[in-house]
Amino acid sequence: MITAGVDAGLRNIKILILDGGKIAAKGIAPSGGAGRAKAIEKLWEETLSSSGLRKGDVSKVVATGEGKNDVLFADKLVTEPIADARAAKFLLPTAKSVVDAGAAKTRVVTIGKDSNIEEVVLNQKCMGGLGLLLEVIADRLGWDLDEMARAKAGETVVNDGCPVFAELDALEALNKGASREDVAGAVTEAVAVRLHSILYDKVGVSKDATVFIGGLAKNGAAVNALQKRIGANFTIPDDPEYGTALGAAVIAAD
Amino acid sequence: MLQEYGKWPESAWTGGEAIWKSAKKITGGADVGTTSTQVAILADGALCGFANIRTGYDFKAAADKAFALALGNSGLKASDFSGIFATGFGRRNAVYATGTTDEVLAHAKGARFLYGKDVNTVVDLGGQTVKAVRLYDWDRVQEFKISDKCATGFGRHIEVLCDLLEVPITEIGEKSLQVETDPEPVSTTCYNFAFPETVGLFRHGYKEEVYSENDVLATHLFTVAWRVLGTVGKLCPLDIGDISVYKELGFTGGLAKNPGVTKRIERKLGVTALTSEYDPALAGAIGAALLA
Amino acid sequence: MKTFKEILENRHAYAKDWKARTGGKVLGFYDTYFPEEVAYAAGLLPLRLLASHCEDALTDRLMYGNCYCTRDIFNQFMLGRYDYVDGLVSIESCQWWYNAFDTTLIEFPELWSHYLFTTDYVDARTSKDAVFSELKIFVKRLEEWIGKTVTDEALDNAIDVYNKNRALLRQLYQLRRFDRTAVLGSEVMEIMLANQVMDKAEANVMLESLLPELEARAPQEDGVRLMLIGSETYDAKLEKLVESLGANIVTDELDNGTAYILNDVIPMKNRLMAIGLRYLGKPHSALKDNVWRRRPEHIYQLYEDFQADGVIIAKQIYCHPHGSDMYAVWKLLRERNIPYHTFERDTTLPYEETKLGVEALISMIKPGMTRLHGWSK
Repeated sequence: MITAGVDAGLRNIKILILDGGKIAAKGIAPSGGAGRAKAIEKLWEETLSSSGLRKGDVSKVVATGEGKNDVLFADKLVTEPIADARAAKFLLPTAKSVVDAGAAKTRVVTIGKDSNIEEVVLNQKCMGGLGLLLEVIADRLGWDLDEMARAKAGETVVNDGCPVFAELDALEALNKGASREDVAGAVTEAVAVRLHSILYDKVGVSKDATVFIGGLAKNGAAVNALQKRIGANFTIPDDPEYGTALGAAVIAAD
Repeated sequence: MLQEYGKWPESAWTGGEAIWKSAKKITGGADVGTTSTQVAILADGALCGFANIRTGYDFKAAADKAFALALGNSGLKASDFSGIFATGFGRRNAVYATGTTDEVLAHAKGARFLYGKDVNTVVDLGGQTVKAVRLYDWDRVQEFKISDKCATGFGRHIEVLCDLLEVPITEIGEKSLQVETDPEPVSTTCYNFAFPETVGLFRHGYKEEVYSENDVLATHLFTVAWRVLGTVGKLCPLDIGDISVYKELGFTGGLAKNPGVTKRIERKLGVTALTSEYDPALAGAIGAALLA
Repeated sequence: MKTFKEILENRHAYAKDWKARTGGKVLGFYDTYFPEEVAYAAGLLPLRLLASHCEDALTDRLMYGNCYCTRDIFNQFMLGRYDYVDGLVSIESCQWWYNAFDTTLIEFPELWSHYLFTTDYVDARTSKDAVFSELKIFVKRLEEWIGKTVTDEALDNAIDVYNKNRALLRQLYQLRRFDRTAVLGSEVMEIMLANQVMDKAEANVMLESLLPELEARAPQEDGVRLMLIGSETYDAKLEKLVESLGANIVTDELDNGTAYILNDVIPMKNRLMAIGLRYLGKPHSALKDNVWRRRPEHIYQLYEDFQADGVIIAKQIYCHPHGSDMYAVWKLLRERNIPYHTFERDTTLPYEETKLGVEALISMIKPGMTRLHGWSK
């Protein structure tokens, strides 16, 4: 059975096609603002053709993410935490909790019996935009997001309470001649502090049975800083940004 | 990496020999800001060269590059200047400067240059901060207000918004003005609250009325204008409603080129801002050059 | 630790050392309305809890919405930096202090604690009776805790020590008077802050030897003379920034500045009433400046006394008393043509960003300065 999951996020759209429990194809594209419905349609066709499939081959499509209403070809819409939990169980059958850190939002979901969600913690308003902060800083440093891995902890420290202030502090450090690696290190550390705070907002996450997905999970420096901070060992899939889309595709296969 | 939608065009110009060859006194000004860097060269008080570029990660490189661009092929050297003043967040990086000046005064001076002697209220719309200045009839600052820390970054993040919405930054102002009435603004507390709210307006079915792209842009720029007005309004907290103090208004800074913000502020204050043939982003650099 | 600066920087070590030396208990308090004399008479070290800037992954979920000072103080408890504190007392003050007190007690129920009520309308007819009766309860609870009575002699001694301390600090402030500026704002602020966490008898000894030294200094050119008002601060970074721009903070209206030292306990037979009256008669803090609105005039008086040229209003982000106070202060400053600059800060002070406004204020004042130095010569 071939199913697909579409995750229309604030920054990117992710599509993942699942064929009998195996990933058959995946695609990612910018969310496209007002033209999001069209951007999703286009990415859908591209993803299909890259795998040599036709629309008729896909028996069910489940959409999730902030822009799920723009997925006009979806058979079903699900809210994001449910998809997160299913993805976590798919990736790690013993998973007890899942963290999804994206461009705008961070979610922590604890999983109960039968992959049902037990509790969901969303970031408070002041802690939104952590992924975007990393992107904006990378852009300012003249780097790709992946290059943020060059971050190394130095003497620079930025505000860890607010992304707006953090950016200001980073600019100040650059102004004083701090190296790019230093500034990236400080911002990464601040993001880790924030994530730590969200992770323990209501419930602590399991230290060895937590799956970490979302675009931010790709940032090794931030994840390592976080793991060190709480002494945990997360399970991170190869392409963590497709995590929620994977969950949607798994739900479609039910 | 962010895409190109948020990147405004850089510019530079150097006047012909006739202007600066005969000049008795050449002065320069550099405004090294958080988001953009400008350099202006004045020959006997007339603009004979400028550059306006993005600052990037290396403040010093940006300061040097802008200076080189403004000099162009004129053959002028730093030693030909009778003075070069630096201002802005990153002023310490303009190593060729002979002195520094504060930004409030620089923008006030620059606004008088751009908009003539009449201008008495200057609103500098920068990448990170907003400054509102009231001037005496002579070139002295009477009072100034700087945006709260929480209002930081509204200018800079319009660039980020443009990238996400895939609308070129030079067009958003005009586009946003095409709506008949402005929708209600989103959160004005801080940029980080406003931003996801703005983008979230695209959520189909979330609200009864479906927002168009222009509506969303209008909402966001109205929010920015609202936040700017918070700073401008502090200039006369005791006679709220008395807009007479804003009669001769001039905008400076990068955001001054965004009619979506400036027109909305004008509308609220019931005035029409003065216009200039020069790029308003240059005000800080011109002001510094005048002071040099 | 020889200097006030060293004590301020190592304040936890100082308090631990004090405990080891005297065997006494340390009582932490939040707001300067707390009548320290009473605790001092009971043999305790009344310790002002000062904020710093600690890494913080906690307070967003435990104290969301509070100002960063109160959050940081709680955070320091969680990080174990205040592990030597034996008791906590909260004086009726701003909501954020109360929240910090409350949250700390949830996490550390073993701390001795007392909530000391004082009226918000400090000038009301019945305020003194209310405060007197609250102080009686407080003394009773203290006696139960430490296991001995607080005698009149001990109260008299505490009043003497604190009155002397305030007098010495007033002398220190006089060293920045217009005709003879001998010290910098940053030096004074460091002494004021260190004094808040010290045994006042020890502070008095240090002040007595320091003051003649400072007085003997040659008078300095202080450039633009500024007054600092607003929320309290916990370091001298802003003063140093001002000094780096060729100006000096010459006076202030801060809870841990002039408001701490301007009035004394006037000895009365009823010692507790005398102490209560001192705190009610203190210059109004922003929170207690109700109905009578004496604060703006008081600020103006200090401005004139110290012949300042302009005012910096530094407010902590999320500080509600100083947020609501601002309008009245602005109104007065504007009416009297006093240049001022308002900005918000939190537990850190970003240099360039802060400089932006302070520098503009200074260069706005400079060309119009009419007070020539050396008038008195």
